Amino acid sequence: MKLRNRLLPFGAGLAALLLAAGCATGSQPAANSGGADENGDITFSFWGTNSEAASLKAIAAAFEQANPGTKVTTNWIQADYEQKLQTSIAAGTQATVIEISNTSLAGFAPSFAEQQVDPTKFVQPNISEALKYDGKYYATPFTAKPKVMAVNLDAFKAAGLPAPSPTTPLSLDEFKTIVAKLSHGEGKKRVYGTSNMWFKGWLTAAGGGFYNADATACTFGDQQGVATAQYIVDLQKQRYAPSSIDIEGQDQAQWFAAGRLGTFSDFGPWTVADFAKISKPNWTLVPVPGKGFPMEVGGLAIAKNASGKKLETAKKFVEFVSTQQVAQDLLIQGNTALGVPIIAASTPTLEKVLPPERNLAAFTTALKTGLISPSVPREGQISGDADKGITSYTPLGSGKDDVAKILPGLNDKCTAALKQ
Amino acid sequence: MNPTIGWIRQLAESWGVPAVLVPLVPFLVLLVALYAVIGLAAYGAKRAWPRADKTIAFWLFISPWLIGFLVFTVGPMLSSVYVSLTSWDLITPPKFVGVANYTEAFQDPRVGQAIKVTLLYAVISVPLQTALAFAVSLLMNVDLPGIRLFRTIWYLPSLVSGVAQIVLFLWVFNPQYGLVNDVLGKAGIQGPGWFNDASWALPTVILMSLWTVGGAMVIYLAGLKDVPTSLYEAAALDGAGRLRLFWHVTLPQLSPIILFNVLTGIIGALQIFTQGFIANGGPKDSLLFFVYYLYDNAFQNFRMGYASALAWILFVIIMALTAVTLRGSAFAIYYETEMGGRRRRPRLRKG
Amino acid sequence: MAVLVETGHAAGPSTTVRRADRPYWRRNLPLTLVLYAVLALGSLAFVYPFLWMIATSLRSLAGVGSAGASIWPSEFLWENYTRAITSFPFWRYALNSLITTLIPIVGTVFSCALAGFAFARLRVRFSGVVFAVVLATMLLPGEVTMVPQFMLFNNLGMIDTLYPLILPAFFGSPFYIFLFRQFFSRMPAELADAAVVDGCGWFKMFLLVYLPLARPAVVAVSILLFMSYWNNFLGPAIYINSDQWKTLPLALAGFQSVNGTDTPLLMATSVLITLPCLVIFFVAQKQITNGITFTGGR
Repeated sequence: MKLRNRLLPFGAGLAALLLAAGCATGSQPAANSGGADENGDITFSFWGTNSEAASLKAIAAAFEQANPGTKVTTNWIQADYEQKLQTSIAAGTQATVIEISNTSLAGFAPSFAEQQVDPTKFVQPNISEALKYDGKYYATPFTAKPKVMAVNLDAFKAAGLPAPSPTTPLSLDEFKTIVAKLSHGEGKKRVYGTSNMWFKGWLTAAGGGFYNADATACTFGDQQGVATAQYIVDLQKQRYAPSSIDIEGQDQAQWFAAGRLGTFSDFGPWTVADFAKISKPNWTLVPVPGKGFPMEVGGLAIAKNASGKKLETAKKFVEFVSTQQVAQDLLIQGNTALGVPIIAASTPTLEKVLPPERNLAAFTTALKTGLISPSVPREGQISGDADKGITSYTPLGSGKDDVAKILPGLNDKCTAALKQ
Repeated sequence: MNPTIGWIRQLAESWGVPAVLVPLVPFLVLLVALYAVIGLAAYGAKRAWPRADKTIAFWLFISPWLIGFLVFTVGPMLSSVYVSLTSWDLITPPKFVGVANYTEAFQDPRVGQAIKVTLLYAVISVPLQTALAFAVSLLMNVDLPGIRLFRTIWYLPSLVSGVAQIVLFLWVFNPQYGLVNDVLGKAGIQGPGWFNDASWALPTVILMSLWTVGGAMVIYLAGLKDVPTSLYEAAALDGAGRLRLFWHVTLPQLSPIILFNVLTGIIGALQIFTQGFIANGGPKDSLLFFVYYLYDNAFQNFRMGYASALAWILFVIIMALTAVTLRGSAFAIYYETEMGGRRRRPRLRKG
Repeated sequence: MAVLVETGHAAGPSTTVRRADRPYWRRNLPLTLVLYAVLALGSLAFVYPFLWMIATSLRSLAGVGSAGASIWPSEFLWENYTRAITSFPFWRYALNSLITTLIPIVGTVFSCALAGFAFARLRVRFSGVVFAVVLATMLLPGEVTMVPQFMLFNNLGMIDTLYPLILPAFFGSPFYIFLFRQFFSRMPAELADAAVVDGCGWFKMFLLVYLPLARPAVVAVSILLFMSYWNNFLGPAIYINSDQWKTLPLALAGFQSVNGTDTPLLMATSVLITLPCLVIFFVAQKQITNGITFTGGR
């Protein structure tokens, strides 16, 4: 028996199958491998919903158009963005230009190239400040994501309440009184004074913070933290605010449209689309009570391993996205926005998406007063573990335990993890 | 990336290999080289010992499995011993920390929780699934008009598996608006929070696993159809009732299948991941399945060393568990057939 | 998988003997009615979530809330499906899913049949020991090697490609090696003798004589493999980063976290992902509902 005869068909078959596998995997180029760049084509990775992805794809296309001969391949990572970024950095397959949020910058700074940023180009200097790590810029801002609050004017009228000021935020006490008056009804018809309350957001609004200013300790379990948690738990107990179980799998914009919510906090620029189609109840935007919710800053980082022509194109692209009006205007797609433009020339673009009585200008105000949370390394793990504990054990999530008993313990664990 | 691999890749790139195929080239080169060596060795062996033809063929036939076993299982496992002794986030170089990961794992309450949740799931869901699947297959084996339609209906849900199934059941068990609580509500019962309730989350996942019992059902059904009718007839002639028939004919005849299903069921249950992933570990870590915790440490928190230590702990647990279950199951079937095979052959020769 | 029943009873002529003269339901009417009741109730419980999924996939967002548990198709918003297909690169993901399902099926079937044949028909020294090792690895969950395998593929430069999801399939899987071995063991030994007389080599014998006869086993294993590869989630979750290589389950999971409240869209996508399994089911229905059987070979 001839062994070679036996071996050949097997080997050939295997080779053919593997080749077929390769061919079938399509003709698109694989992700940029970083080194040895003979062309200036770049890749650009980002996260987000469909509309946010549409925005960034449009910006990439606009850049290609403005710079003939360049090619930007977009890579939309829907979920687990930071995790995917880490594995791709480990494998050396990260994109050339990488969208990064100020909150997760600290963990990735060592993998990013340092950048030169001119803070004066942006409407607000603190915006670029958010993307500094160890005193150096590791990303250039291209958008900010402040939060505002939508109020149901019909509900206010029905409850005999005056409409809140479009520019001055309510205090937390005023807010509590108002939502109490807005709430009524029972069961699935229950009208809540406010949407589900985001602990981290309200913590900032009340003057507290998840971490202290220099990110050396967690502070969500301090006196202010417990008081804020208690504030939320009280509102939930009075059924002025729905609990996270009440809204499980529910679309709160839908609730607002159905008149089931008096106010809707945690209203980001991307929420505009959901609300644009709502004409009844009549609504408008006002600042979030207290000091407002923390503002996220979207930045663009350049991979450290980018070099040569790729690096040049990447720099040009980052510059284009963060300072050119064409690009900044594209943050607004139809009736929604990925974020608020950060150059003065594009500010009106967002404000004009809806009629003036909707007060989209509230975003511009919020952009100027928005507080920025410090960035910590291993943010995902640290705040993830804390969040898990909070939602598991306290009524801020699906638990039943007393916040005063749970939060300080979680806080200590969080600080310990931070110091590791 | 390994330098040799990188070098072969660059070579492939410079030869104009399409980009999608480039990662494959080094692997293929290594594989072809390996098979060239094996082929030469086999050829030499064949010339030296022409009568060992069958032995050589045997090793060639199982060579894909053998190579895979060495490359994808043994090799990685050995290297994971080293990784488990380091602190490593994939990006910065690994740092040797000795047995620190193991000592941490033994003190980590979440490891205990993960083991508890996983074992509870295995111990409860596997017997339930087995009993239900077996009972249903008995029902489906009755010769009724329209039984094929019923078989189809009961099998259909097992086609909705993986992520799609969980996405669906998150809705079915939604505490306020879900299917189940809606029905319970109409009956005047306030349903629990299911996935949102720490004490209900695991039972909910077990309930969900029962929905796809159709897959095991068809296997038992096949086994039932394979029981020789003559055995029933002989037993019936001896005056055995329906219960005795079941107890003395059906059950013994199907026991290898049942054992096999239980074993694969346990293995599958210990590997449960997706449910934990989508539910993010569940409230109070109630769905912190071991593999999910492993994944979470490795690919969410990037603690490769710690995750490797966890993997070894899981390995020891599974080895211990299977040592207990093994005797009655796969090995029993194997040895039985082996013995059967040996018994049969001389008989053939005689005849 | 009747192949597992090897309790010593040789396949005899008993299959020709009919169990009873009259159909069951004529013999015992009351019990029959009880059985039907059980079957009907059970069917309702089993099929209801399935129908609910389909009904919900055709509703509007507001309709989902008002319909609750009802499966009455009050709305037919087929655009949920067009939305599902257009709101993410559906065809790209579907193609990736197909590639990482079909090619591994071919690889697994071939490598496992090869090894299974060797264990069944090439009994040589140590083959028993090696087979015991195969059985032992069946008990070893692949998750244990998750981290080091990632490192291996990273060293091979295969992160964020489909190869880590494809290549291991070509190196056999203990469970299916076991199934094929059982199947080949049941084939008459005379086949091999006849082939040897004809001057066939072992590989030729396997390829031309045994593999064609193993068609039922190949079909059954392929069906099982299709379901598991199509729904594979952990693998893509680890190895795939970029949009262009995502598979459908991965996309659905991402979708769930991004558009978690858009129930109709989620359900429509779920239905679309389940569709290929449904199609396979209806094509191979007889084979499946009668029990995936390996015994058809004789």
